[in-house]
Amino acid sequence: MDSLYTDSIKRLIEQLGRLPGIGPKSAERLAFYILHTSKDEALALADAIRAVKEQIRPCKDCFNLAEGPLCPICADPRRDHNTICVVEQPKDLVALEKTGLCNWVYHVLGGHICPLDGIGPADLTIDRLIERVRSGQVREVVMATNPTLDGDGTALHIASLLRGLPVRITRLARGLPAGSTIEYANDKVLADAILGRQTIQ
Amino acid sequence: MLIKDQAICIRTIDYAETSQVITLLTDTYGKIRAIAKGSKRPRSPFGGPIEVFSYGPAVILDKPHAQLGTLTEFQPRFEIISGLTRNLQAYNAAMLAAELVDRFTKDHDPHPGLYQLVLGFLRDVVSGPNPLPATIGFQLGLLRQVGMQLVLDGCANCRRPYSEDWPAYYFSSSANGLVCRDCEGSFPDRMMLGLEAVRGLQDQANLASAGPVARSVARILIDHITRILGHQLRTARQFLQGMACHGSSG
Repeated sequence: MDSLYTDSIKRLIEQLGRLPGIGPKSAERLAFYILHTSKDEALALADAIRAVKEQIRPCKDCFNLAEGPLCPICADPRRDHNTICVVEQPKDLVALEKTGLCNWVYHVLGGHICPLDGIGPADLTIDRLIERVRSGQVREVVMATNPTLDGDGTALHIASLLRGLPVRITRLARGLPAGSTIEYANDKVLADAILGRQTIQ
Repeated sequence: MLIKDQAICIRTIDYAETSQVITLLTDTYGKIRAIAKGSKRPRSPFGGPIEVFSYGPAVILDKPHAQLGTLTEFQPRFEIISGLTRNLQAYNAAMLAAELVDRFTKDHDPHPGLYQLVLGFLRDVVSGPNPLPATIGFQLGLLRQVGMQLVLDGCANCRRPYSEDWPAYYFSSSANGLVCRDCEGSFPDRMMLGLEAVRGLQDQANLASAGPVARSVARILIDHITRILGHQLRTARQFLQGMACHGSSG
């Protein structure tokens, strides 16, 4: 079957097939789309891939994706630089920003602590976060790590390091999503909602 | 073979985009690894991704010659996870326990009592103020379960019964327990213990209010286990560091 394709097409299918969610059939379909599209359009795709690999680097303050020394959020003077929201990945930052409710700055850890996989605090950007809190005017650190055992473990570890510093440590609320019904909520969500119940003002 | 048993998850590995390979410690059948198909899907049959320390009744389709079974049903309970996400010391201790159980047991090798030991330990660390004595008790219990019980009621070499009148107390990993002064010269790896540490090893209730002693006993046990396994535990460093921070702050 492989011999049906020339070497360059085979290579393209192989490379596309490495992408997440792309199986052999989809890789073939994408390869043929690229083959049949105009040269300019195909090369624009190649240039875009090259550009992100060559120009994107971590922001020197928060480790978000940046094309200069600072990411657009850290470089924005209208942001509240006194509040740092700690996330695991740049993708989490994007999700929070899409709500339109966040005016804070971020700190991207680059993952979470996972003792069973041998990932410890030194493998993340936790030291830099502590430096930022110590050296700056930070008044609040918002933990927005994933609501998993390891995400919460990471938040606890960071909180233990920040204890003693004049900074408020909070974490995102969890429980029933607005607009949902209790009947269809899963046990985990309900457990969080019960344990995190709040007084009605 | 369809296995229906109480089980606790001690390890998860993501498999493809929507599934996980999980390691379950069952009450009756020992450790079983299984694939949880679709566990990470929004409408997961298991109520969401399976996390370490979720526990409850499980049904596993276990094929005789396959390395992995298939998890078909799991109704996990989350109160242990909820407790661990509020206490860093408990979290570190629980992670250490999960790694120890995984390393010391083989697939499909039943250890009657081990499931209850793990569950009891997790409940203790979640509810107790200081997880260290419980962790030490768990390590000793695990060694007993896997046939490597420490000799703590006498000299592991000459069998002389333990007495608080001994002029000095030693622990030797190669002797697998306490060693008296007459025998300590034969064990280059021996270390001297205080009386409080010996009492703590024999009964963890004696460690409840003895912070530095409990930490030294925990360190001795981790060194001993590392020697048995022949390599470092991944979770030990964070456990020991957390223990040191806890000690210095409290």
